[in-house]
Amino acid sequence: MSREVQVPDMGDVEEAEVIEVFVQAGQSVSANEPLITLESDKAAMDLPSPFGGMVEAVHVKVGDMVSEGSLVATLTDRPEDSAPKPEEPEAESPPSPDPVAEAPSEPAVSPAPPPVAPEPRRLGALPHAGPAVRRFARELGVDLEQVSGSGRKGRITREDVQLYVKAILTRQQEPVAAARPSGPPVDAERFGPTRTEPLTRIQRRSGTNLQRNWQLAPHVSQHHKADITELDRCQRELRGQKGFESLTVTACVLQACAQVLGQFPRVNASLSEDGRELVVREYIHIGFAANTDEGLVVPVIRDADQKSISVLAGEIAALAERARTQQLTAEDMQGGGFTLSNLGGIGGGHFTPVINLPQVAVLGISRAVREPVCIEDRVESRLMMPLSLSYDHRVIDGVEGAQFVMALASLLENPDQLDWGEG
Amino acid sequence: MKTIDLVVIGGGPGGYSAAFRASDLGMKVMLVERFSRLGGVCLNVGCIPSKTLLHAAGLIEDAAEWRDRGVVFDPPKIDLDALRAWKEQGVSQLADGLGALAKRREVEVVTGRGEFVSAHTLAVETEEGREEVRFGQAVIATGSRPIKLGLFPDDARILDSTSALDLAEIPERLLVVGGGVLGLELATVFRALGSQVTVVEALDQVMGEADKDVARAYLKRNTGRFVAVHTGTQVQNAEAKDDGIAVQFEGADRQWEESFDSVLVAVGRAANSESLGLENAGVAVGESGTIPANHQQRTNIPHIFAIGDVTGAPMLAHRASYQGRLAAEVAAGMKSAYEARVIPSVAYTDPEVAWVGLTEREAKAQGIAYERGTFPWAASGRAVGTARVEGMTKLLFDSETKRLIGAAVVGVHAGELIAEAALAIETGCEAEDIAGTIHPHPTFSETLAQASEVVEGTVTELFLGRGRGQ
Repeated sequence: MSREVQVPDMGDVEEAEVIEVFVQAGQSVSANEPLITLESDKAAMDLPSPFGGMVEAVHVKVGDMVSEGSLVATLTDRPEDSAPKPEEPEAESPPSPDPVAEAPSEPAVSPAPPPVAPEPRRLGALPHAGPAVRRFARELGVDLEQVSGSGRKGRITREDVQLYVKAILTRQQEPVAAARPSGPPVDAERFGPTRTEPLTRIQRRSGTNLQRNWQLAPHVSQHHKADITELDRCQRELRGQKGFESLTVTACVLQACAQVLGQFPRVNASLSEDGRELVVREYIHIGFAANTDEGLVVPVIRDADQKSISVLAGEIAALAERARTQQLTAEDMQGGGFTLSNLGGIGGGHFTPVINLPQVAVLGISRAVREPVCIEDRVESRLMMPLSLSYDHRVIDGVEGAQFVMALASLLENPDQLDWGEG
Repeated sequence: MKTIDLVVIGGGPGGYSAAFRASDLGMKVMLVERFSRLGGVCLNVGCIPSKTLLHAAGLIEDAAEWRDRGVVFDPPKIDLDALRAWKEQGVSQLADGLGALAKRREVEVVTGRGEFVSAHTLAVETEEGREEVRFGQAVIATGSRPIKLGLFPDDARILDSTSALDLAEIPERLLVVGGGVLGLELATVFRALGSQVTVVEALDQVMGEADKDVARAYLKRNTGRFVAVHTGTQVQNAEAKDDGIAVQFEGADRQWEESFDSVLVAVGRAANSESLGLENAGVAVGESGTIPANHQQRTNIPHIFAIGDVTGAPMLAHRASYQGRLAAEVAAGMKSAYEARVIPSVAYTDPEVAWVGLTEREAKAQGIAYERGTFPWAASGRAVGTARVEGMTKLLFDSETKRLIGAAVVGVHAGELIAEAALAIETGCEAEDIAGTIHPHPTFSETLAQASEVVEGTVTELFLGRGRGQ
C-alpha cells in the first residue's frame, strides 16, 4: 500500500525551501527518520517521516519551495516493517547520490568501496570512560576494552579500573604457581616440620628478571685471577687519607672496568630489540650490585670513565648508603651498560654472575687471598683476586671475552695506570 | 660541551608548553626560539593579534547594526596606528608573561636557530655565534608558515596572514584567496575596517571542513557584506599593474578578470622542517615536509619528539600545546599518550563558526548511523534579544551508542560554546545527559541542551509534533 508524505503545518511559516534531501527512491526509512530539511526565513528544520516504509518516489529536490500540504514523498509498506534488517544498511554501499537531490557540488563519492581501511575506531564506540580514567588506565597498562563499567550506562570509573587490576593480579598468582618456579611439587611437610617466609618485593622482582636473563642470554663465564698485591699496597697507603675515606676495592675495579670498557666498546653495548643491530653506548655508566635487607639492588654510576677512584669511592659509598636506607630512585638504577658484583666481603672463589639484560656482560670479583705464585723460577706469595666475567655469547665471542679479562687484570696489576684522583 | 636533559626547538604554544611542563617535571630544559619573543606564530602573528582585530571588527559591525534599534553612534573613525599599538601592547604583555614564566622555571631560553648535528647534539646559532649542546631528548616544535602560491607576483600588495595582521593599510578592494577559517577571519577584519572584500575558494563551499548547512548558516549573514564569495573558482593568473593586481578567475561556467588593490593569500600552511639538520639526527620527514610522530609524539628516533603544526594537520595551537605537554611527560618517563578523541575548530568570523568531532559528511562516509538535533537560534530568547538569530546549534549522536559524536555551532560565542560539546564527547555523554543538565536561561549555551532535546523529542521551544519523546 502506498502512502504519501506531505509537508505538515509549519506554524507561522508559510513557505520554506528544501535545502537537503536525505532519501531516494528504493530506500527504506523508519518512522521519524528525517526525509528532507526545510529552511524558512526563521529556521531550518528536518521533516521526519511520519511512518516507516520503502521510498517509492521523492517529489521534491533541493531548491524547491514548499508549503503546507506539498507532496514530499510516496512510501510503500515493507513486508516486515517492524523487524529491522541489520545487514542491509551496512552491506549496501553508500547510496549513490541522486544527481538532483544531492547538491551537485558535493565531492563525488565513489559508491563502490565501503570506507573501511583507515578508520581505526568509531568515535561513539570507544570505551565509555572520561579522559582522567583513560589516563589512569594507561598508566597501569589496562586495556579499557576489557573493563566493564559500573557507572551509569556502563561508564568506566576509576574504581572499575582498580578492581580490574586487582582481579588480574589475584588471577596471575595462580598461573605463576602453575608455572612452578620451584620445580616439581614436593610436600616437604611430609618429611618434617616446615614454615613459609614471604619473599620481599625486590626478591620477587629480581627473581623474575634473573630467570628471564638466564634463559634469554647464552652465558659464558671467563675466569681469571688478577695479582693485586701492588694495588692492595697503594690502597693501604691511601686509605683514610683525605679524599680516600671511603676507598674500597670496588672503586678501584670500577675505575679499571671503565678504562677497559673504553677499549672494548662491544662489551658496553646491547642487542637491538629485533636482534639485528648492536646498540653501542658512547658513554660509560656502570652499575654495582649492592646488598640490602630487602634484597639485591644495582645503583648506577654515571660517566665512570671520567671519574677518579677517589670520586668513584665517594659516589659508591653514597649510593650504597641510599640503597641500604631504601632511598634509591628508579633513575638511580637506570642507564647502566655494564655491571660489577663484588662478593669479596664474604669469601669464596670464582662464580658465574648472571647478565643484567640488555647489558651483555657482568663482572664478578671475589675475595683476594694470598697464594704461592711462580714468577719466573721463584715462588712468591702474591695477593690474587678471582675475576669472573659472564658475557652474552651472542654479542661477545670467546676471544674478546678473554681479552677483556686479561686487559682488566693487567690494569689491576699496574695500579699506577689507574686514575686515583687527588685527596 | 654543555649537556641538557631536553632541548625544545621552537617557542610557540606547543614548544613552550613542552619546555615548561618538562621543567616542572624536574628536567633541565633549553628552549631554542629564533625570535626574541616567545609565543610563536599564535601569539605574535596569529591567533592572538587576529582576535584583537576581530573584536574591533565586531564593535564596528555592532555599532552600525544597532542604529535601527535605537542606539545611534556616529560612523566610526579608525585610527590604525592606535589600533595597531593596542594589538602590539596585548601581544607584548603576553610574550613578557611567557618570558617571566620561563625564567621562574629556570628554562634556558636561547634566541637563535637550532640544527641537529647528530641524534644527541644540537648546534645553536645565535648572535654570539655557534654553540653545540648535548641533549638527552629533544622536541621539535618548529610550527608552520603560510603557503605561498607561485602564481602570485612578488609584490608588496600580495599579503599573507602575517603581513595582513601588520595592518599597514586598509586596501579599498581586497581579494581573499582561500575561503577557509583563516581567509574568512581576515576577510571579516578587513570588511569591518572598510575594505570591499571578495573571497575566492577552489572548493565548492567555504569552510570546507564543516558541513554544508553550517557554511550556509554562516553565509546567510555575510552574503551582501562581501562583494562576492566565489566558490568552485580557481585563480588562474595574477599580474601586478600600477593600478592594482589584475586577477584572472576560472569558475565552473565562466572566466573573468578583476582588479584588486591587494590580494591576501590564505590557502593553508606548510610545516617548518627544513634546515633543521633532521638528516643528521636520522629523523624521517614525511609527506609535504611534515614530521610523522606516534601516539607519544615520538618520531622514528624515539628520543626525539615532534609536536604541533610541524607534524601536520590540523594545525591548531590547542593541539600543539596538548601535544607539547604530552611529549614532555613522555620524555620525563611518564606513561602518557595521545588520548584525546577530538580537537575543536573555531572560525572567529561573524558569526563565529565552531565544530568538533564528526561532521555529517564524515559520519556518512564512515557509514555511521546518527541522529541529528538542530536547534535554530531563531527560537532562542537570548539570540532574539541580541538580534543574532542567524545562529544554529547542531549535535550528532551515534544511533547505536547514543553518544555525542559531533557538534557544530554557528553564532556569536560559538567558539566558547563548542567547549561543552568537546567535553561531552570526551566523557561519552548522550543526548539525555546534556538535556538533563540544567543550563542557565537565557543563554546561548542553552541551545546545546535544546538540540539534545530535539533528539530526545522533549524540546518545548520548538514544535516537532505530538507523541514524541515518550
